[in-house]
Amino acid sequence: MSFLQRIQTTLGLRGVRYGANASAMSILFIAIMVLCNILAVRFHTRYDFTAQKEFSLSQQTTQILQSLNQPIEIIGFYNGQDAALQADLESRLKEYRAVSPQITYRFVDPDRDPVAASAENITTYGTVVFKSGERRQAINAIDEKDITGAILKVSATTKTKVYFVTGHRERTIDTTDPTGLGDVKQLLEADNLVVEPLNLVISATIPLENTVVVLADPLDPLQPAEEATLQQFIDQGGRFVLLSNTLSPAPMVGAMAQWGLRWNNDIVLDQQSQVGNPVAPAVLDYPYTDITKDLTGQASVFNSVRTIGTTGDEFPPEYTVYELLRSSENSVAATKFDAGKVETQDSDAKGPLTFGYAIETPAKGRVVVVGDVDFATNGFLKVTQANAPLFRNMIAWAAAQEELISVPSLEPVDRQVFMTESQASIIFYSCVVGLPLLFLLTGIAVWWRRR
Amino acid sequence: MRTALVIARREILAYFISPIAYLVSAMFLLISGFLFSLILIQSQQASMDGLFLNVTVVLIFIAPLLTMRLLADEQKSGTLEILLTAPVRDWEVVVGKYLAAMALFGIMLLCTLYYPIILWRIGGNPDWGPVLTGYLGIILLSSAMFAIGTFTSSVTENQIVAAVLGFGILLLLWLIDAAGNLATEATDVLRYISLPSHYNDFARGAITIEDVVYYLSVTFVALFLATRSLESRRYR
Repeated sequence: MSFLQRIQTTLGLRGVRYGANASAMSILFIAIMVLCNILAVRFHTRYDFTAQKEFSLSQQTTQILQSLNQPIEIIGFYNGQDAALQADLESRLKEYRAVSPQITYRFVDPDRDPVAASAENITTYGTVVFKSGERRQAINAIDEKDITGAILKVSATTKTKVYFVTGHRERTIDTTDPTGLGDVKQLLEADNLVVEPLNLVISATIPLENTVVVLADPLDPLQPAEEATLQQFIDQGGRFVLLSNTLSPAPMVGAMAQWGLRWNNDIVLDQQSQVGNPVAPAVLDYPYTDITKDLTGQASVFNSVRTIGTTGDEFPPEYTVYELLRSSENSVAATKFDAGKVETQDSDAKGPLTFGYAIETPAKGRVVVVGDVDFATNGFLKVTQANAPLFRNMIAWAAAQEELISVPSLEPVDRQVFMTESQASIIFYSCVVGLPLLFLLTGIAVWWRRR
Repeated sequence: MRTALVIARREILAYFISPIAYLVSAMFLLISGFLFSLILIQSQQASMDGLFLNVTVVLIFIAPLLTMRLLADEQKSGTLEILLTAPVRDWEVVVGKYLAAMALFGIMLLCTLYYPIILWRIGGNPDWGPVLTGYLGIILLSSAMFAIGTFTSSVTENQIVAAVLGFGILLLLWLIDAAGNLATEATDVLRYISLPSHYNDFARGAITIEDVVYYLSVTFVALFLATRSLESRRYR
């Protein structure tokens, strides 16, 4: 039999034919399964069942990602020991990538690729670098807020400046005492804004582009020239936030009248205030605005609040005025108060009382007016869940950076359990001894019976 | 499929008249109970993700133990030939036996529901989403691991060989992502192939489609290969 005939005979054997057939089928089956996996990775879909939606991106982040028009490369520098952190970041970045194909990411182990690490000036493990064109941003955190903030930073062409007016005993941005605004400065800087003081005597003009001016409770009246500078800024489409407490001289009265508003000389009392102090009313129910839409059910607390009235039945037609903040139904606006003593009278206005407005001007400017400054001070900003996002949202709305509005930081939920020693013992013994023993005894019984 | 269920029922009965099922179940509950109470008492947190992540490791041992005799034993005792000449399709034999092992593991898993009940009874405030997804993940992960065990049981008539082979494959698939540190180019692929890397999201409260697809495809491939292996006996 020739060699060729032998091969033909062998190939003709049933076993070989079957083997070839089975192998081909197995390879085909595995290939189909591999393809399914490739498709599942390509079309990444994740369902989030956590109470806090820990895996889901906020609406704000999604909006930012959808508006990206240039590629952003994200490089995480992790060594082998940080595998868990890297997995966390990758898990989150998958969500970013699923929303925007502009996002790409990769990981580098600085120990194994020191050249790449030194090229990016990496000095610590866990640094994440964001790159877009010439712009570059490095962070050392992997929260959604941090990642989205970094994406905004590298995708923004110019930074918005927030000026706090000084020179009239306003609340200042450089102090850490409870009445200062140091925490606000930090908050805004974390949102990639530049925060600076502004003295209107020195700078008679305010740049219009990418600027928000905050006048935070001046205790001395503004000079007419200063007020004119601010008025001109607003009229030309400037972005302005005006805050004033009870007992402080009413600022920018002329501009307020222009918007159909006036400061009332009163103080809001809320006997059922959540913080137990009637002069510190809490707000839980917000009128729906772009500033407050994500804050429903979250308490913000104010202090020494003055209400804001209207000068007529209707607002001037050229301005769009939104009601922004109002006190609870249980509140009253006391008008008789002096040196720490407040008395209510029947004639006092009853709640809900409006003490905040958001205004859109005809020149496409935006103004926020609030009858309180304390909610933004160091003493109050972090007291409740909503004070910080409320102030940040005001600035973001005024700056028309709605995409920045409160990418929420997840607050850890308390899941602590308290057990007595005897409870702990019962749990331990029932789990370690009780259940397994039940099975063991049944097994022994079965074995015994079968014997 | 009805035939597969008949085989499964017969196999479950076989499990419960032998002491091994009780022994393995008792060991599983001992280890998981120990891990649960230890993590709970030490962390004082009403959460089960720590337990889930640890208990998956136990499956590397449980899966080969519960699947080793499924087909190997039948081959050794010669009853497989009888089964194969009966009007039963090969895949029905494989699936029936595999389902029986899964059902036994399901009973063990049911017993662990005692743990979330404890969390609820002591006034904890667990996030129930991750508890549910954690259980779903364990079912999917175990289905893949038990399928691999069923496959190794189909290739040999020696139970010990089947168990060792199954244990080896599972351990390899467990640790394979570490090999990614050696070969950068293959890191992503090796990490994807690794069994535990697909469990993290389940333990933390999310269901990712690629994880579900991965576990199901490992299950299908292993059961498909087990069927092929059984089929090959007809032609040997």
